Amino acid sequence: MTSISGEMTATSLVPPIIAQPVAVAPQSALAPAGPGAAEIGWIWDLMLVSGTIITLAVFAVLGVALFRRRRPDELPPEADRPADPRGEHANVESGGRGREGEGRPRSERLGSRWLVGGGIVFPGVVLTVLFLFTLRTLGSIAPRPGDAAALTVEVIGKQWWWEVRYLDEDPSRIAITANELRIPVGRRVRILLGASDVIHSFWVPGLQGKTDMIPGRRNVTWLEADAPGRWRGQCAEFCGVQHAKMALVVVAEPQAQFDAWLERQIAPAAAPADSAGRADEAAFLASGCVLCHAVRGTPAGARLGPDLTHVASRLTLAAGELPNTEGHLAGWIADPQSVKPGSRMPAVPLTPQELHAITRYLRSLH
Amino acid sequence: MAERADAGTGAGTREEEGSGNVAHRPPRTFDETWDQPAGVQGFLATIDNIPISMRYMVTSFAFFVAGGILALVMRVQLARPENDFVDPQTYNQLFTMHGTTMMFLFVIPFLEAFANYVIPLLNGTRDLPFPRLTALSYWTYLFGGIFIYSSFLFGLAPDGGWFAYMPLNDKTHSPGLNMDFWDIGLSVAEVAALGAAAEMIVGILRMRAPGMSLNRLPLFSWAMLVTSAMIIFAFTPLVVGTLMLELDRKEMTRFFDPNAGGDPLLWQHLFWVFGHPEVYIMFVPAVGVMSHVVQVFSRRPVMSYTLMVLAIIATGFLSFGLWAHHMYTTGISAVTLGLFAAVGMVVSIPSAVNIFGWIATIWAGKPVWRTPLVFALGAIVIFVIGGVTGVMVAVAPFDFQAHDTYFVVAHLHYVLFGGTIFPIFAGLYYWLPKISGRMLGERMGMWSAGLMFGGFNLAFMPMHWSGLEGMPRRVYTYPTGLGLEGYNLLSTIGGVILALGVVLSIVNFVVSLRRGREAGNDPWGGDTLEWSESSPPADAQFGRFPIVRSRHPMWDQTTVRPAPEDDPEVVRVANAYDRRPERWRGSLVVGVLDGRPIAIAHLPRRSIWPFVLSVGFLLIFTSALLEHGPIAMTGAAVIAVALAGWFWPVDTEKTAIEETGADRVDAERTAEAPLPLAIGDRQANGYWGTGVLVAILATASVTFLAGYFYLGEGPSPLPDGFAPPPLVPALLASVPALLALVATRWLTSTVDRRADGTRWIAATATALAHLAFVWLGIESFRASGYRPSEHGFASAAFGVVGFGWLVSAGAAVMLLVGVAWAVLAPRDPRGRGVALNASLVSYFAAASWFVALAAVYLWPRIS
Amino acid sequence: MTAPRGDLHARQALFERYQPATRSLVVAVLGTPVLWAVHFNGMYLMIAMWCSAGWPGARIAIALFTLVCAAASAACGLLALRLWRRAREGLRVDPEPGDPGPWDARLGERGARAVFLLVVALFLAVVFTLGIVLEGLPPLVTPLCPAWTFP
Repeated sequence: MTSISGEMTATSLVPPIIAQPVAVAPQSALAPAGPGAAEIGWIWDLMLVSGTIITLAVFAVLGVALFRRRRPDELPPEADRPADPRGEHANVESGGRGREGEGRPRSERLGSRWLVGGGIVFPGVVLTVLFLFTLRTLGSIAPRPGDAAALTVEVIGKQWWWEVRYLDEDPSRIAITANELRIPVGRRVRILLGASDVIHSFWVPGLQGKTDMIPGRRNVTWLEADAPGRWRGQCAEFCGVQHAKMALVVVAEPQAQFDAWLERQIAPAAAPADSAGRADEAAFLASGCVLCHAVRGTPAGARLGPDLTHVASRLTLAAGELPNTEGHLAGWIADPQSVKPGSRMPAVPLTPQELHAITRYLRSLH
Repeated sequence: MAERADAGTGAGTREEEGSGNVAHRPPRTFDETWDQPAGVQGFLATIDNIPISMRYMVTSFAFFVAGGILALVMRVQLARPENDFVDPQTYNQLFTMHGTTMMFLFVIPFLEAFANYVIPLLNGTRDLPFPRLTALSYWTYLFGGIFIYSSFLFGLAPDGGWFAYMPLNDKTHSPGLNMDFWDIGLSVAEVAALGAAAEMIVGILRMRAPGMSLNRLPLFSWAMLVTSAMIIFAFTPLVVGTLMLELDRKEMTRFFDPNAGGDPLLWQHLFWVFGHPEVYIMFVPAVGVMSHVVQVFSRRPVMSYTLMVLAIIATGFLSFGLWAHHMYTTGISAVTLGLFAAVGMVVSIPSAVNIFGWIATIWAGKPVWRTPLVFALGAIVIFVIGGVTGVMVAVAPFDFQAHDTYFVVAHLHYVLFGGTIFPIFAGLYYWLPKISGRMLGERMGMWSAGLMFGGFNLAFMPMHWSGLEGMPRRVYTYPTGLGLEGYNLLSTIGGVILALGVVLSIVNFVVSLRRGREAGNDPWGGDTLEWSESSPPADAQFGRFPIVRSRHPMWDQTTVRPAPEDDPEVVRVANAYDRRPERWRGSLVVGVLDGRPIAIAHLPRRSIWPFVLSVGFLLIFTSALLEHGPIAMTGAAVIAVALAGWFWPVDTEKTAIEETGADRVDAERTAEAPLPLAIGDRQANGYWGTGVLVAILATASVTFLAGYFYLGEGPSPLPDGFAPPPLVPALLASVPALLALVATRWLTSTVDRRADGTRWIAATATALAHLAFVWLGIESFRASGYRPSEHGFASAAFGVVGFGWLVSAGAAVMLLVGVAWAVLAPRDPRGRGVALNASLVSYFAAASWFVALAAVYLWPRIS
Repeated sequence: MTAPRGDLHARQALFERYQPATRSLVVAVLGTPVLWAVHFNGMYLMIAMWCSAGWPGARIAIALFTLVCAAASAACGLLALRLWRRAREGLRVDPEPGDPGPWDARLGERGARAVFLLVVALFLAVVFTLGIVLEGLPPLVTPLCPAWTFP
């Protein structure tokens, strides 16, 4: 992850918006890091090699067809073609009136064999084999009924961010976060997909193929990472103005680290320790922020925007657009529309003092 | 109407006021009959295929340039990461309009324009069967295109994607008029495409040169025949879908609203059941063009015509089993994915047959290195790559990664450039000398081909990698650090080179018009009939009908004139219609299979009404956009007047009836008029056209039914307190429907028995039965308690029955026109024709009710 | 085997002997694509219905359906093959390919048409039978119903 200095000083309370995005992690289907993407990567390798060979072979045949040396007697030049008043020169197979088998040049029979062999038999065999591989892979990467027992995370696509909920039978143990998905290494995690406004698509190419998030429907996929690491994911279905900037980070951690993280996320926000902290909290609760955002453990409970209970623990802001630093946070709050034009987050009028206090408060939500 | 019809029988001099004809006196010679009207009014009233298709070509090529400019702006924006050349909103407009333009305003119209021009020449006929429909298609297409593009003036260009997914494009998420422009403008283009398809089907099946049996049909004609059938079955669901979309946007229905019993996936099914065949609708005509170019420039017949035809037909069928390829990631179960992947594998076979057919033809022939062949070779190379990546994305698991990324962008452009754009350029370089009479510059053509080929590959090859490296489609920018910068810069450079290639060709076209060498009749030594005519062809095209004895008449026959061994009957026909009929436009109708002349068809000469009608359409669509009552009323009035003018008796038709004795039962066939006039019976082109119309209606009906069952079985719950609709009112409505069936049978029998005296009674009875059915049908739906504006399932049920009422009402109107004919001119064969045509629609309208009855009134009871 | 010129009765007999009847021609040409369409849509519906209703025996029913369709499609192909052989034979028998006289009284003219249509039919049968068989495979290999249901 690129580290960008975001130290804020009193003089530059509202820092310039740094258009520099966060290249948090790889987003390539060509570097699979989990069994799902690996299965797909394998079939891609197979198709890339065989497809290249077949393509080049066809080009080679075309090249020979164009440039091969022709015997002088092979085809008379146009001017010498026999006049054929009764249309008999053209044999029956070419729609003429000639007799079957008469005047049918050897090349014609050869050509038909090429067509049947190259056009029907060869692709028929190759594609049947490929189809069997397809079915095998389809079966192996499909969600299984047994996944229900696994850790289950619900991801809801919204314009233009992701709500992430770690499900638990005990409603008080449901952790809600946004734009960041942490999973334990080496474990298959079931992902339930939904959408609250329009269709989105959940795609983390390094770990798994994409699955759409459709309002009114529930889709299922799964993720598994072979080793600790971070992968960037991005919405893959056009979903409006800021479709391009709807990203998320998947973080795979060892089990113990993950468990600790999840416990922290489940807990409500810690109450401010000192009076300065309480003043900052009051500034937040008095601001327009609470019309959309929730901080569990405080009266702020709106669900339109991302849950901010542990916002300071996240890696990015604005759905993967900005690194989570104090400067970017203040900048994002002060002027969201210049970071993500058309974003649903309005610029709330704030005095510099209010902005400062709210930023401090949010930075305290670990 | 009565007076005019009767007055028309007497003299042919007073027609100009009512009939919309611009001519001030009836034509007397063959050339006068086939000439084109002059002046502005003449410009609007021309319906000949040649001028209309040339306008069509120029217009759609202009849209091609516009769409290309949009693409270039996008490429500039994407040239480097985090670029701010355009803002996100504008970028979304750009890609929406780029896709919409290329799909709906360029490729399909251009191919239709091409076919309109070339098919009559290839098939050896004087025009297509419904010239006024051709003109209507053109004008509606032109107005639809201008309508969509006018949105840029208001800053309201469509921005929801050319696929307009719901619910992103419903009123809540796209409140502006942007997508209304898209939806309404598109409907116009769809109507134009359907009209052109009906024209092609009837034209290719029935209007050909004597002796051109089905196994001698040129491959481009085969391709357009299959394409047109595909358009009927693919565009109709789109028309229904866009209608549903617009109703949803007006919040009159809830087809796609997941919060009210609708389902956004229904839109995807409807759109892609059009959208995938669409790919092949663009590709199949290109197969035809390529086959012509390859065989002429290899100096030998295309290898295995039979297998080429097989490939075209098989592609037509299989293309309808592929729509879920665009929906692999929507959560479809693995087994259904496998089902669609299977079809994806099989559809590669016909394409492979085409490719190997061309390669084998070149192998066995002697390639002549001219520009058309070079473009064709470029097409083969590009299409092979696009085909291979097509198999890849058909492999569902791989598509989970590739779907909606630049990999797919690369794939689809490879398929479209290889399968459509390069073949179109090959066809242009091949046929423009015939169209303009001038040769194109070879050197410039070669340079253009080279630049386009190189630029294309440079632009789109890297996209395969940028897609797999994580770049989704339809993003206005991308971050640095993902490794996408290099690929995108290459793509932009390639795009510019590609554009230069296209510009070079345009310059070539324009320059050749003035400075090109005279082409002469047959500059390439071509094999098909168009090369037997002058370049550019005369207005009538074939003053003398050629006689075809081979698949390659210009290669295998010494003459297309009658030869000693020809069927004497056919020779007699060919001689009799040598630059005749003189006072009206006539062209031969042949048997579908054997190409034997069976009748002569009358073709209208000129008419202002197609233009007026499309102006009416434009008004109606504008009123739908603005929800403006007075404009709607004006539009409806204009449409009513235009339709009346259109169906008003044409005086040349009267002449034709008199000359051929079509109004006499015992008409003798004379040496001058050896064939009957195709009018008023089942040989009339109008009857066949009505058959195509019924196919369109049936497809629409099935689409509504499919939507109904889909929503009924889907995830959305039924409305609260749902109860199956009561049966009794529906059964009551079935009585007039049944009566309509019986009365229609009676009506057709009066036509067959020539019982002209009783025809009006039968037609009136049928019309009344339909009107009663519509009334009782509406009552029965009222009794059901369904609220279409509140619940998706109710909307779907309303769609099923409401469409039935609409068709019934239409049938009633047609029948009433038939009544007018039967009362005012009982012996006129045109009246019999109207009755027969109306009976087809009437049969369908009445019969479809019983399917709707079972679906809407019985099915909720049993499931 | 040759019929004398102008002997229309003898020609008629030749037609009946070598020319396929229109109905069997239609079955041979359009039978396989139509069967494919029926099978494709049938599979789609069967999978949807079986999964939503949870009936037993889905795999067997689908396999049977595929077998029946594939067999019928293959039968259409065999019919095309048989008719094609016969029509080709007829072409050899036709005495005068360039014989003057009404076109359709000549076997060569009609025969060429039939041969053309039947070769198309033959290959359509190959393509669409392969399609039906491939479409029948997924239910045997992959999990039949999704591992989740609607919410």
